[in-house]
Amino acid sequence: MPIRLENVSYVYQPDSPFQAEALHEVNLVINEGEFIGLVGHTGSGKSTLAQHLNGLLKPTGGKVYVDDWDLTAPGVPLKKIREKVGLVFQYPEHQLFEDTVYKEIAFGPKNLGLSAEALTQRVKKALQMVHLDYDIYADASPFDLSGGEKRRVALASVLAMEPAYLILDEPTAGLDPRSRLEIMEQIGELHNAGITVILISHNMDDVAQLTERLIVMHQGRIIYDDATRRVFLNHAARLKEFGLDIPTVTKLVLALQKKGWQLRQDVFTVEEARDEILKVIREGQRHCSEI
Amino acid sequence: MLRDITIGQYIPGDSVVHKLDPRTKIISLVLYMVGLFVVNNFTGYLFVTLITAGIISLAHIPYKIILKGLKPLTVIILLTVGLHIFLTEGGPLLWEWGFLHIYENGLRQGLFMALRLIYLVVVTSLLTLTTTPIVLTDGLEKILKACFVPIAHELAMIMTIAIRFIPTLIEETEKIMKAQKARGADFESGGLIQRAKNLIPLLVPLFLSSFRRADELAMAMEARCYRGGENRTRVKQLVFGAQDFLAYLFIIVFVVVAIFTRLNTL
Repeated sequence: MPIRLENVSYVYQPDSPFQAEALHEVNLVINEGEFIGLVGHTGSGKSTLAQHLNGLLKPTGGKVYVDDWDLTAPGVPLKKIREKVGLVFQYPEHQLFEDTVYKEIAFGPKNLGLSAEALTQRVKKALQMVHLDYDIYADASPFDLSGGEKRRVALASVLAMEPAYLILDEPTAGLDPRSRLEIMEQIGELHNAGITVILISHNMDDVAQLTERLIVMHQGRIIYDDATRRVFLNHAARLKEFGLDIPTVTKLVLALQKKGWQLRQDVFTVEEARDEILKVIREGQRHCSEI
Repeated sequence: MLRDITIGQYIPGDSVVHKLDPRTKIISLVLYMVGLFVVNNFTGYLFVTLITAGIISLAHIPYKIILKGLKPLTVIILLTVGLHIFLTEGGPLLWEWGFLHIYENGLRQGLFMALRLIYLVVVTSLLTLTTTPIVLTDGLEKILKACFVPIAHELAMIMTIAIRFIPTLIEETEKIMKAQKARGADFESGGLIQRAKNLIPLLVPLFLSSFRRADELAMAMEARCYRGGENRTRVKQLVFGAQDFLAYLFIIVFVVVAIFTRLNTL
C-alpha cells in the first residue's frame, strides 16, 4: 500500500512573526518497493516532508495517507504507523541512551509490545542487517563504539521495528569515507531485501548510484519528481540554480566531451563512466590501427 | 507544546522601547516594580494600568505574543487569587458557603494581587521581547560593575550563554523526542511514575548533548583567547541618548505619582 500526500502544506509557528511556510501544497505518492532520493538545499523542506510520512508532524493543510489511514484524522494508531514507516534522523547516534546495544535496539520493538524471545530475534536480525556481530556487540555500551558503529546501531534500532518504509535523513553525514561506503552498501541491501527506501541526501553521487526515482525540492515545493537519470540528464543547469549539483562522474564526462571525447551524455555512476571511457578508448585504438 | 515557551524570546523592531539603552530598561523595570508594589487602591491601579498599557503600545509588540507569555502562569495566578479571596478577612462579608467565606477585603486583595502578578510578568517579558540577549547582559554587566560586584563580566557571560541556549535546548529536546517517538516511544500516556520513566530516553541523550555542547563552546571560546573580563574592551559601547533621559524622567514621575496615590487615601 502506498503513502499518499495530497496538497500537504506545513507552516512553522503560525500566527507569529516567525511564521514560515516549510511545505507548499505537496502532492506525492510513494509506492512499495521504490528507492527514492529526496534532494534539495538546506531549508528546502526535505526533513519537514519526511516527518509528515510517519505522523511526527501533522500538516497544517492537506492530507497524508499511509495504507489508507488518514494521518490527519483523530485517533489514528500512530504507533502502527511508526512501525510501518521507520525514520532515521540526521545524526541518529545522538538518540542513543541505553547501557547496552541490545537494550538500545530492543527499545523500539519493546514499545510495540513484543515478547522477550521475539525481541532477541529482532535484535539479532537488525544487527545482522547492519553487519555487526551479535555476540561481540550485544552487551557493549553504545557509547564505547566508534562513530560509524554508533550510526549503525542507531540504524539497527529503527530496523528492529521491521518497517516496510525506511526514511533516512542524511545517513552518512559526518562519517569517514569507509563508514560512508559501508552504510551506503547496507542501505542498498535493505532495499534489495524488500524495504521501500527514501534517501534524503546532499550527495549526488550516492543518489545517482542508488536511487531509481528522484524528488527535487526547492522552497517547500516539489520541483522535479522523475526517474533519477532523467532528472540529471534534463535539468542539470536548473539543479545548480537550486544549490544542487550533478554527480561528479557526470562532470568528468562533460569535461571530457569539451576536450573532444565522443562520450554518451547520460553517465551518472562510476561504473558507467568507466565502461564508456574504456569503450571510447578502444574504439580510438581501433581507429589508430586501421590507419 | 514546547514552542509556547517565550522566555528570553526577542521580537525585532525599531520602537522607542527597542532603542532604549539596556541599562535604562533594567533600572526602569526595577523602578516600575517599586511603583507597582507601592500602589494599594483603585486609583493607583487604574494609574498603573494606564501606564502599563502605554508602555506596551509604545513597544509595538503584538498583544497576542504578550498574552501567550502569560499562559504558563495561569495556574499560579489562579492559585494566588484563590488563596487571597478565601483567606483574607476584613470588611463586610460578601458570600458564604460552608467553611468558605469571601470578605470585601479578600476580593480586593485577590484582584490586586492578580493585577500585580500579570503586570509584573508582562513588563518583565517586555524587557526581553524588546532587547536582544546580548545587549541585555551587556547592560546588566555595566550595572553590576557600577555596584562593585567583583565577577560582573563572568556573571553576565553565564547569563548570556544560558539565555542563548534556551532555544537550542528546546530544539534539541524536540528533535530527540521525535527520534524516540519514531521508535515507538510514548511521552503522553501512563501514570506519573510511568511517565517519569518514559522520559529517560529523552533525558539521557539531552544531558549528553548538553555536556558535549558545553565542551565544544568552552573549546571554541578558548580558541578565540577568551579569558574572562580583565582588560576587556567593547566594539559597541553603550551610550545614553535623549530618549533614555526622557525614560528616566517618565519612570521617576511614575513612581512619585504611585506613592502619591497611596498617601492620598491614608
